[in-house]
Amino acid sequence: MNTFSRRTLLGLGAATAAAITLPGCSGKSGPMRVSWYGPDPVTKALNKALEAWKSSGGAEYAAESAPFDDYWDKLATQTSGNNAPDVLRMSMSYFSDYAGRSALKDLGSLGIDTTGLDKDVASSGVADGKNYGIGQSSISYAMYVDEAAVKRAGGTVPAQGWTWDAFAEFARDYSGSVQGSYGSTDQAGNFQLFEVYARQHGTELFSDDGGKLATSKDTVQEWFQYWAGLRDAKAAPPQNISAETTAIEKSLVAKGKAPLQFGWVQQVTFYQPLVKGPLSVLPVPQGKAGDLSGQFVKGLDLWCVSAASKHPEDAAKLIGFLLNDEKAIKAIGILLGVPPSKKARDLVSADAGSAGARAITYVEGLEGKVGPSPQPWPKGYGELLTGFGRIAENIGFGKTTPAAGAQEFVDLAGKTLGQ
Amino acid sequence: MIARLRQSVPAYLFLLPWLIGLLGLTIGPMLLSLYYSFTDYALLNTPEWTGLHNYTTLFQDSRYLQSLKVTFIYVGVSVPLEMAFALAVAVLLNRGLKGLAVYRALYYVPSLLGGSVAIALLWQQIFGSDGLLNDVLGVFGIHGRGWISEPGTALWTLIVLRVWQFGAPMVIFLAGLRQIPDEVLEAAEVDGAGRWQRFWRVTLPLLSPVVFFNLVLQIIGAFQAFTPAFVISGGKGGPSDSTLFYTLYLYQQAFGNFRMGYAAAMAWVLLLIIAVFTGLNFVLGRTWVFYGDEGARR
Amino acid sequence: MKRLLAHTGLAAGALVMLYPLLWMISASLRPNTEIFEHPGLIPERPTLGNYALGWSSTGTSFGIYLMNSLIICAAVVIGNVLTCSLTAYAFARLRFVGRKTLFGLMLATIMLPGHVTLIAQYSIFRNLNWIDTFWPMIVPSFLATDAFFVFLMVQFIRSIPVELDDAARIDGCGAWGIYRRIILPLLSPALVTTAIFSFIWTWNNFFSQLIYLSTRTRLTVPVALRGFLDATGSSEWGALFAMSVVTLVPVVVVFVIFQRRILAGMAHTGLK
Repeated sequence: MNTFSRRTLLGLGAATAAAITLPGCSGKSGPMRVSWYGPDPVTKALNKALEAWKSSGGAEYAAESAPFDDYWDKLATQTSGNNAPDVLRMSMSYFSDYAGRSALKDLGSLGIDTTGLDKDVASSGVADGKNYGIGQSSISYAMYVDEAAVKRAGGTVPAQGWTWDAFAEFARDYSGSVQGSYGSTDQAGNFQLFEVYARQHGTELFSDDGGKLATSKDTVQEWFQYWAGLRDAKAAPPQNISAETTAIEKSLVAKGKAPLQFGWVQQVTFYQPLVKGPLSVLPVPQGKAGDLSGQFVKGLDLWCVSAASKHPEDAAKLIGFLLNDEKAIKAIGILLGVPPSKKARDLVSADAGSAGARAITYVEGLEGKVGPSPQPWPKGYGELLTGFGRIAENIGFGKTTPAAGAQEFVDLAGKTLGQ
Repeated sequence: MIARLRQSVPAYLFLLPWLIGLLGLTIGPMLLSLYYSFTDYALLNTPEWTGLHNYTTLFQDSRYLQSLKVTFIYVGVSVPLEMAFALAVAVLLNRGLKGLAVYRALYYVPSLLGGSVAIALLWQQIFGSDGLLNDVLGVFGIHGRGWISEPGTALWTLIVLRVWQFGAPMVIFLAGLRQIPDEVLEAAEVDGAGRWQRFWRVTLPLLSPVVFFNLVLQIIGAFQAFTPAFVISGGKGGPSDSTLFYTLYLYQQAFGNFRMGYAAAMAWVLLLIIAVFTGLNFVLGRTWVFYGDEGARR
Repeated sequence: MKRLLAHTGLAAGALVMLYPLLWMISASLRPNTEIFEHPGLIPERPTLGNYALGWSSTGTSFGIYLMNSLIICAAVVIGNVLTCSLTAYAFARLRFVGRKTLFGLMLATIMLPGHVTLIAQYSIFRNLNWIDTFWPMIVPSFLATDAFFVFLMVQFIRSIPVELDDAARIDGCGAWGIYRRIILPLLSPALVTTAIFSFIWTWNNFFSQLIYLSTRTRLTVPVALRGFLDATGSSEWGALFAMSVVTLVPVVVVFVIFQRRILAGMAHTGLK
């Protein structure tokens, strides 16, 4: 007897072969691809801006987007698989990782018009003398303060914010007078805020070539000790509460358990809807009262073109359009941050009195007062960012001390940078 | 030899899809990852040979050792617990209770949520400092802590999560129980065997291949658990690396720190660990697993 | 009395199992700002707004994501049931050169974490021009790459007495005949289990779907759900929960239908 029905066998083989040789329904040498990260409102706004691009005769495009965390996995895979998008939104956290490994195109020769942009923002993506990305927003670090809450507790808010010492005192007084509340959130693990602190204490965070940590171990230790002091005085929450209140809707300021929050300036628009009183936008604590040189204005999100792009000229034109065209600027509004040029800020004219308007005023007010913009964050920045937070967490849970933690961080920086 | 090869042809034909998949999609990438483990590969540029450097660095990496500890605890505690619940509930549900289908569906629902991002929030709401568990404990006058946000207890919330999702092995146990012929159990009853004896001496042995399967695969799965820790700790493995699962640390190194070579070395070490445990399982299994295709009973 | 105990026990257990889900449903009916406020289950001002918002929020109707996921999952179910059973039959019942080695190799394929093989597989699919299509998710299931189900079926087949095979062989059946007439029908509980898990796990499998799919209208449910949360902005919790509830529905339906089929015919196995 036949051990096998030949026909079924052939059928099986053919089906399998067909299944794996059938190509997908779309070829891939297609139009220019534009990719960005951000929540839904950003996606909607950019889609509108892209439509304006199309209707003014711009080249064909295909859009892709993903939330911030997922975006990087995808971008790394795409770049590694030789399939990176043409125009991409880049964060300063990963910029050097990509630029330093030749994944981004030098925009210098592509003729993008950056004349209207804030000086520091236009040059945000300059590394090694080449321009790998153009900033798409002007931002700086800030504090948002619920002044009404402070007043109710009997305190006052200085117009330009506090000095670090005055701030510690304020936080202690506030938590002393308002039951169950804290005067401040715990910022010990906030590497980005620490950069301002480091600059106030003499040096940039990183050496000019990005190969070393320029801040001293003592500065790091002082920083950790400062926040440990606030925690001990119950002026800042214990570590586990901080872990549970990272989401905006669960944050202490949204729940009325603290009168302020720290963040990049444009994030105030996310906190405002959750807080009853208006949130003032103020500079972060300073070393000397009124000395804002520790802060800086920079474009921390950039538009870039991937090195292997097959549509470099169209990509460059699109970036120029998004930065300078009126319709695009209006569509984007303040969703990518405070707009990077005076012209854009005037056009966008957010409703007076709104959080967005306050953010814009704040950034414009910083002009001339802040220190020079630092170099792009070096390769390995991401690892230091998470490492700093982790070490601060360990200190907060009592697993290590500010001194040991500072040393651990310095060691980590030594290992990670300059690779 | 030729004759045996010729006899193997029908089998190879049945295996054809799998062989194509193996050669086309699986073996290549696996071997490539082995190659990566001997290199410094930053994903965005080409790998550079570094020999055994990755492997030697691993065992001096304190976070790596932490991830090993976390993962072993997770496997050692959650797998037995999960299997016990799954088996117990499957046996209960197989009894023909009224409303059986409803209960079965209800007990399976947690597994349906999989690694949904919503789980992270749910778990916060239950195990956070102001969450449900502490409310319940408060009724009894016990002051609870931040279960999910403190390093001492966070891993336990993940263990609870895995055990809560015992529906998957339970369904497999149910399918296995279904396959046991009623005649065999009836015959045992006729022979005078009581309920417990029937379970222990008829049902369990006949179910043993399925128990074995669940055990082997739950262990493999638990060693490779990623999504629960990823979703609940936001990818960080916190608080203080107390939920830093092995594959989560691997992922952090590969995609967060652009160290794919290092991650590949981690992957192959894990494969070795899992292979050892699986091999142990197979060897031990010879003593307690009973297959229907082995002819006479032992 | 015993029955009452059993019922109360099971019911209490079910409540514990379900509580998180009930909370999620309740949260989906609350406006964003209230979700984290009251720990109770009953929303004070129930609203369906989250459902409307979540359905249309990204500019593409959520129904499209559901449809995409359904297509992929259905294909994967068919692929796995077909090819994994073929493969399992060979391993469990047929003799061939290299059986033990190949079996070990098959198990080894699930011991390696996927993150490190992802890049190479991405390149393979890129060369096939399958990026941004469904093929990378579907084709592996037609090539029995999921060793979990192969091993599952191997174990189930080994529980089937060999005497049945022998009886069929005496009747003149070859390997294919035995597979089709004896094994496949008796494997039905395992096939149904494979179908259920293939569906559910593919439905929830976000990482590969994230990496391979880009065009908005080709995205699937898990990718779209993650789109409601973003670290750089405020998150749409209400919409997330609402859509999570919505996406649970097909999964529960599939489960309930298939569970019935496990019960229905296959209580009686044995020598015919």
